[in-house]
Amino acid sequence: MRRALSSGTTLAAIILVAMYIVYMYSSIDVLTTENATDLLNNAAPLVISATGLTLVIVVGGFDLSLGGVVTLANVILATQTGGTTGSAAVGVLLALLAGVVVGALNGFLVAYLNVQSIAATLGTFIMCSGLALVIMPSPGGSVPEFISPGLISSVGPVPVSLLVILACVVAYLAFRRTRMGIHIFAVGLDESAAIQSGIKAAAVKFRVYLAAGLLYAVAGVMLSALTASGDPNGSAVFMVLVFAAVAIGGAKFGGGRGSAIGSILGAGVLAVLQKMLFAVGVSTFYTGIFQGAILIVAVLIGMISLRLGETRPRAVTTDQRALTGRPA
Amino acid sequence: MTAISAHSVRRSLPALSGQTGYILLLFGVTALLMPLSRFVSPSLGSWSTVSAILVISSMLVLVGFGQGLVILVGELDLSIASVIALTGVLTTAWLGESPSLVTFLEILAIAVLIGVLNGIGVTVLKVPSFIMTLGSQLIVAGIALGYTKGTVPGTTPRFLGDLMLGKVLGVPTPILLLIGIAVVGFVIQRYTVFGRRLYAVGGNRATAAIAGVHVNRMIVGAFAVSSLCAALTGMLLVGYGGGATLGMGDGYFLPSIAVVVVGGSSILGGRGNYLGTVAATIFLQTISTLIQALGISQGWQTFIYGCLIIAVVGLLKRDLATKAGRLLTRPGKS
Amino acid sequence: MQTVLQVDDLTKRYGATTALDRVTFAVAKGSIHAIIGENGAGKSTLIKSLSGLQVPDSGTMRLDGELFAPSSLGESRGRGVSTAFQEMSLLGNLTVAENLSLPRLGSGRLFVRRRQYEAAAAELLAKYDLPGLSPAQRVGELSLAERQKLEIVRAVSHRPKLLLLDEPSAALPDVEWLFGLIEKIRSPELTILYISHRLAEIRDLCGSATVLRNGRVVDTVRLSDVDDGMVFTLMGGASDDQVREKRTGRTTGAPAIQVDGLRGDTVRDLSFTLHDGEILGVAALEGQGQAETFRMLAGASRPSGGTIAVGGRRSKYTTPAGALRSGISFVAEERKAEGIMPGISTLANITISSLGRTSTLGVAAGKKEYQASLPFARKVDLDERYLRMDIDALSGGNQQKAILARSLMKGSKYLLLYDPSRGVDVGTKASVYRMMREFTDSGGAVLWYSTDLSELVGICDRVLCFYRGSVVAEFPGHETDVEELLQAITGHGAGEKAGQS
Repeated sequence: MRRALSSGTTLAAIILVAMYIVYMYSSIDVLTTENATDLLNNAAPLVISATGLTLVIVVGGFDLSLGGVVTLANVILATQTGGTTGSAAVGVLLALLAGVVVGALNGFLVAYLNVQSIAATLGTFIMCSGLALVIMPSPGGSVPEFISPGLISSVGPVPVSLLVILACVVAYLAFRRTRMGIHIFAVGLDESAAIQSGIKAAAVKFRVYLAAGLLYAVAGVMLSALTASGDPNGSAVFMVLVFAAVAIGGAKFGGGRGSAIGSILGAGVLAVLQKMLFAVGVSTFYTGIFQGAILIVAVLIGMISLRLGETRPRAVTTDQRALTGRPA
Repeated sequence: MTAISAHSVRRSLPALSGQTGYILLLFGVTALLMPLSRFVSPSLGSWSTVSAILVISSMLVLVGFGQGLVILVGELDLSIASVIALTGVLTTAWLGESPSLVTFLEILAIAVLIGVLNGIGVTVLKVPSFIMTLGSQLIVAGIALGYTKGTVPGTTPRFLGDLMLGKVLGVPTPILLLIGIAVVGFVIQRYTVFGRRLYAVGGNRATAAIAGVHVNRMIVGAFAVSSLCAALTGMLLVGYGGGATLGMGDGYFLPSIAVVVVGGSSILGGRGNYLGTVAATIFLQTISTLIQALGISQGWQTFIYGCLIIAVVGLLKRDLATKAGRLLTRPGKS
Repeated sequence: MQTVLQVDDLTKRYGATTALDRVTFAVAKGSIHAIIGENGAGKSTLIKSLSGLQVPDSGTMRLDGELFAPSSLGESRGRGVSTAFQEMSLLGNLTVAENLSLPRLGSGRLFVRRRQYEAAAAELLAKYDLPGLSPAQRVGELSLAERQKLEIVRAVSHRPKLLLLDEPSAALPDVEWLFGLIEKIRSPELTILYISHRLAEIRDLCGSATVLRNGRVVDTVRLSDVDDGMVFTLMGGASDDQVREKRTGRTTGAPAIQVDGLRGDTVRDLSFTLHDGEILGVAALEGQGQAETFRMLAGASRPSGGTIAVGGRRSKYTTPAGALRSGISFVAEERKAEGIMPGISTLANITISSLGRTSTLGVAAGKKEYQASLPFARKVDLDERYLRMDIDALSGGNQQKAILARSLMKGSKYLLLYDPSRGVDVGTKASVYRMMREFTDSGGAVLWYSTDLSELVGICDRVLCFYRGSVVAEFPGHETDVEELLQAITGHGAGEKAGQS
């Protein structure tokens, strides 16, 4: 029981179910197809980014560039003027390429130049924000139809976003069974022990940042489907929500522990929260307050559950300090 | 360089040990950029452009001071943008009509309270600082939005307008303010008991504790000062811009970190010189003026900010800062 | 006899310290060869070089006659060298089986093969007599001894031709399992380098031994040719007496710090008394509870039982600041980690504990601070010109002097010095000794841990020997010698036999 509770994934699942029950009571038409699709559409970009960020957190890093990549992908799509499926494909490819390039830069800086991940990704985040403004100086434009409403509609009875979310879950479960999927936990817990176990820690970190960059770009595509237009300044709140999702999911800031499944459930919690606040009639003016509070509370809950699960106290490593607030 | 000249430099600038060389380099490059920018555009390089750069810098320099202290203890304050916005809003709403010292202090007290809560979250609850301050950023922004319901009430208090747009002996007051902030900030960070203890905490928490420093109190203090500086910046911005908007702080969020990092402070804490932050602020503002004159967009400007940060923290790390400093201050070491 | 490993002139420096100094020795194929030496003799640097975790500055290693210069663990493993590390390299968040099969995790191309590596792990666990462990168990849940065994099994499982065992018995309650394993794997093709400080074990297992001291090879001996006393002499070396004069028969004052029945994670029922005017030495091998004892006395760590009385009154402080108020000043072990505060001047480092005295209205500026710290800098022979420099620019010795000056300036009556002379030059050592004498002559008391036993003999009024968390012996500083201390701290002292408590 104690062990189950201490697992962030279980905890996030419990919160999600509880929240959904409250949400069902707060509004009558919760269970309609439109409402469910809407919820999934809102959750999809969060889910994808949270999956990427979880990998980075597990490997002991942090990634601020996520906001930048999402924005960049968004404005790239919103400036594709063709309107055809062809131009949509070009836009998506360019967006994914941007994610890979930024991820590679992050990975290079962190893994091979040993730059603090916060500092490195702060730099790339600002770079991306700048590039987004260059591509699209003010909000507007529209994304190709293939993406919006394409990606927020349904294939038969199944919403596309549900497929995307399921793909994330399946991909993560498969990844956990790969060599990398185990190595990231080793490197995140104790880099020097991982190296002493024969793991090439730098290569592992580099690939994680690369994969994360790609996932953020995919999230940017899904977010564009939702907003249908471009916004070069639009990612701040989104980024915070992703942090919150990962925190609720029980990933340990500092590395070595976490699960994308937990983060995905965390993303679900936030999506339901938004709906619930709206349903009970909380003014949108105050949404920020709830989001901020839930972020802090989520981290606290995560820390308490970690403490419950820890049988033996472990010495704080410098790496861990580097992350919790930085600084060694 | 000979040992003698090095020694004399060190003696003439005894307080600037460490990154002196790097800071002088930043100031030097900036000083060169200003006249050279005439080649880019004839409108640049004039006294009025220089003056405009310094006036704008006076606000960033103030936020940078608070952020610098938080970075000095090894944390980050991401809440300043909304603190600036909230105090800006309260300044027009409460101070605009009937300026009073009590109201003025009340607004500052609210800001300090936000900072203290940030600090408590980080130290007592042990929430990572970027999470804690990102959370409070959202909460404070939500409060500002909820309070105004989207439209900012009130007017600009006259004294702030006079302060930010006035001149003393032909020199714009913000420039005098900039000089004052630079001097006071430098002294606070380097020479006060408070500043010293912040260095100690940032340099090495374990040692600082063993040396009898109350580590948690110092961290809370740094966050409180950071919020206070953001609040004062909010007020200056109201005076400068003639009003408050809910987004008025957004432009200070990333630059406040950028100026500290580009100024040579370690993002890991424990190292840094406020004059570096001042130099970096003026340097970056000069660059952005230059970029604007070149007709390059805001986007490229932000992009270049990002590149500079990566260049400083990534490629050069501390090497340039310390090596340049060593060249000037202590080549006679070996 | 065929040589499997030949090390020639291996040298490694870290800044000012030379960890390995032209180390040269050879190991015969199929033998079990011991590497012995005190703490800081260079054993772990040697291990790291052989494992590919660290590239030596100069010198060569040859494996079976071929040049061996690994730059990664994988490379050294590929050449048939495998290491069980002392600071264990197991990952607590992975399972036993995963740890055993890192980094490959089964033969799959894309996916790992859990069944395959768990079966392999079960086989290994059975083969090497660890029936208590299950392959799917998380390593974080294992006891220290189980982890140590797993670490050893993992090194053995790579079928090395050269196996490095770094203090393999340090966390084991008895050596039976270890000896059984070695018996099982011994073959003419396998050579074992056995690093340990437990002479009894070494005598049981090894034929020959290379003795390291201060990064140099003192001698390589056949163990059957030498007696224990001679080995200890080789390890400890003759003391360099020019910097120490023995102080004899000094009378010391009232009890300053009384420790009674202290307990903690590594401390077991520890009692002793430090008197005013006394230099009390602590001799111990690494990890015998001395570090925790010092931290408890300094308020940096909380005891789980027992009492500490300072100046005759039971103390209640729980923070370093509280300890400082009680007059206790702590100079911590790791200069870089817990001693200096980088990024600020030496002066600011010295005055950080005394800012109340050196500042006016919260501003600690100028002459006052400088003047106030000067006498203390002089007391530790710290040259005045260093005060204005950043402390990072100073040598280790001068940093240490600055840290000591900080404690003196605070005006503490009691100094806890944790290995202050480690890795510093002879001149600094002399200054440290002189400072301690002056400090105790004026009524202060010093508790002093040193890894260099010979200096404890020279300087202390009394020396306490720690072993496994308690005081096992006490000697008057002027009547003991390094060999006697070495025997006591390795558990060979009165009543205790090595590795069997």
